[in-house]
Amino acid sequence: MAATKRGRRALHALSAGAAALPGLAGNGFAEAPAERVRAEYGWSNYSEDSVDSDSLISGSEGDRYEIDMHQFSASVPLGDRFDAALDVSYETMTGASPWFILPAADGTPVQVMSGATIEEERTDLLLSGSYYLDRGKLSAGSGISVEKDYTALNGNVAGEWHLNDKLTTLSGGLGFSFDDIEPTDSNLFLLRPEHGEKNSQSLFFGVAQVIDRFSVIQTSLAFQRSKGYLDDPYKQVFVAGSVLADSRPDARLQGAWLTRYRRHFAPVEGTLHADYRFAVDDWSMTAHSFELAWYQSFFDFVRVVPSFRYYTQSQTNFYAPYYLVPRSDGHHSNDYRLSPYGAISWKVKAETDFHTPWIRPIDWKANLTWERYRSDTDLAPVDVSIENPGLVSFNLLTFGLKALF
Amino acid sequence: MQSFSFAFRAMGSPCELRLYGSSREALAPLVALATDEVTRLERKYSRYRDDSVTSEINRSAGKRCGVVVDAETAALIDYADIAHRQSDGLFDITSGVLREAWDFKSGRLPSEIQVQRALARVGWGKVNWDRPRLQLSEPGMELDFGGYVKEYAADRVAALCRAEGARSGIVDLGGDLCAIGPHPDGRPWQVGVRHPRRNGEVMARLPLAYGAIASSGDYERFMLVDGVRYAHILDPLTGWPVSGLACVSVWAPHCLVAGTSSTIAMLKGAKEGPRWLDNLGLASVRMDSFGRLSGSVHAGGDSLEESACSI
Repeated sequence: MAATKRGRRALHALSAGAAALPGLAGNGFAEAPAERVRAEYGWSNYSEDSVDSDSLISGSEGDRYEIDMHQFSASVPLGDRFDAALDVSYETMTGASPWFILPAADGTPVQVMSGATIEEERTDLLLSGSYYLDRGKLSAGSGISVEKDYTALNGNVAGEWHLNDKLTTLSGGLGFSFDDIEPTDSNLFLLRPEHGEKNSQSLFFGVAQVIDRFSVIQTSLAFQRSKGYLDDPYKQVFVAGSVLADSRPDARLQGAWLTRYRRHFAPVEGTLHADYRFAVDDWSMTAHSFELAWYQSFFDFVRVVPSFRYYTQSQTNFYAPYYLVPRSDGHHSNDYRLSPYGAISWKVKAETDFHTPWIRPIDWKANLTWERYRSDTDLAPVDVSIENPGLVSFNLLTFGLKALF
Repeated sequence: MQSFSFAFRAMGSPCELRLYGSSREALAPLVALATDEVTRLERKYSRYRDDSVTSEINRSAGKRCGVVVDAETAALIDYADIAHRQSDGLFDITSGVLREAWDFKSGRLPSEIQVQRALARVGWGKVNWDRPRLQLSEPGMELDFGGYVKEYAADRVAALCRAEGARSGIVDLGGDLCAIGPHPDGRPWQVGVRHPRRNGEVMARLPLAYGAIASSGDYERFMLVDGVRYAHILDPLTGWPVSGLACVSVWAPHCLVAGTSSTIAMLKGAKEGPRWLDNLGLASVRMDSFGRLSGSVHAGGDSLEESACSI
């Protein structure tokens, strides 16, 4: 007896319908957490556009980061109520990054790139587990991230609680991260500190509501508090004729409000995803992001997802491309990530499901995604007098393969 | 710890609850909880009670505003909608009105006009379902939850018992069986499936430790007219009884899914029904109208000391 794809879908639909009935979600082992062992591999290539040669100081190379990332993830069920997951990622990074900006005689900003090409690698390890309750789940995870100049430890706990016959889901969580930074070559670059530490704590809570059979809305609030060394040790800044180290306040409080809406259009087998995110922090930066995606299914086993995102942010209160007069609080940064700009990104994802029945049956999911991201002050809703020449545009290509055993 | 059997009657069928405990008395509160739940669902979805949700829905037939239903009923209707789609229209909770044409006690076939008259009020497509509002577009239309509420009740009772701490036991609501859990030593229950033609005999014995087994057959209500057997399982597309399969038993994680799948297989007939079940990947045993047994599980089993329930 070999189940067919259509048959499995029918059974899945019936089982999901039965599990939606009050009290039946925890029926026997049928609704066990991760019922199957999952293994996943992903590769991505992130490639930043070179800095426009007009904006570069003469003799400087404009090539920017290129990052190759390999990700491996697996989860296994442990009994009826537990599952555990391991995520490992390894990335290599080459290229140069914006170092500082000088004002030309006419006030035009000129980008100076970090001299030598950086070769860096990073390894991330994350271990997590979930415990499934009759009406929700509790999860906890802990991870470590290691680079040559950087070590971060992090942990989180989160919970989900279903109410109102599972039509409403409440969620919440807490997280922390401890980062230790030892910038490379601090003996060569006097402005680089030898050591820095950063602590951050985060908190989120949200609610999701099923509106009808075809639509669901979710809204959540997230806060993060960071304290310690928040500067970028690899950036410098021009201040009244001299070049100083990047210097930011040693505390930051960020808040974000995210709302997601999903609506399925049964006659065309398509689903609309619409997201809006508003973020604000006590460095007086505000940001808005809108994303629209359309999930279109074809022949039951192929999905194509075109999406579009628009993002805009204001600058932080102490940012400037360069400073002709020093600030009284001593905070100076020309980091493009703190500058005012707008960005658009186009993304296309193609995904397919297939099944291999040999030796042991495996369900596969493969996807290929291409994204083009462009940021520019012209895309900001307000006039920006001086554009940061370091604003980034990039291409991102991702391939993923997932197996369920 | 020993096992105790509690028999009761509900939903027009003999029912049984088997539980492990130190004494009958110690299990009495749990049994009361279980039987109360079955009674609650029977009252709520009975066609024969004026105060039932089913009657309230059926009274609203033809009214433009329809009726607003509670969350549990909405989930049951959602489920029927899914089953209708997955069965290519064969599982249809509006097909109950065909009973007006088919009187199996009479021993007489209805006229084609009678069948067509009833069929005009059948069809899930004639129901406007905009959760939580339901509207039956034609006067005289009816919804009937009888085709699956018993299986849902079995799932509910098993879930209730588990929530109260029971780990071993079995729920039998008129032949729809749902395991609370295997025997305390891990052995599965042995379930006898009733033979569709030989009264009191068992067609197959199946092990059941988790999940549920439900059966559909042409033996519950039927009539013989000129030597032809007409069973109570009516095709909502033609209005006529289906033939080909005598009995289907299906294992599934939920009794509701097992029951719906066995009903759909009966409606699909001797050739398509078994194929459809095999495509789902659910274990099943079926007998066709010539008495030929087929299935995806071993249906024998001679050395079985324990028989929890017989269908």
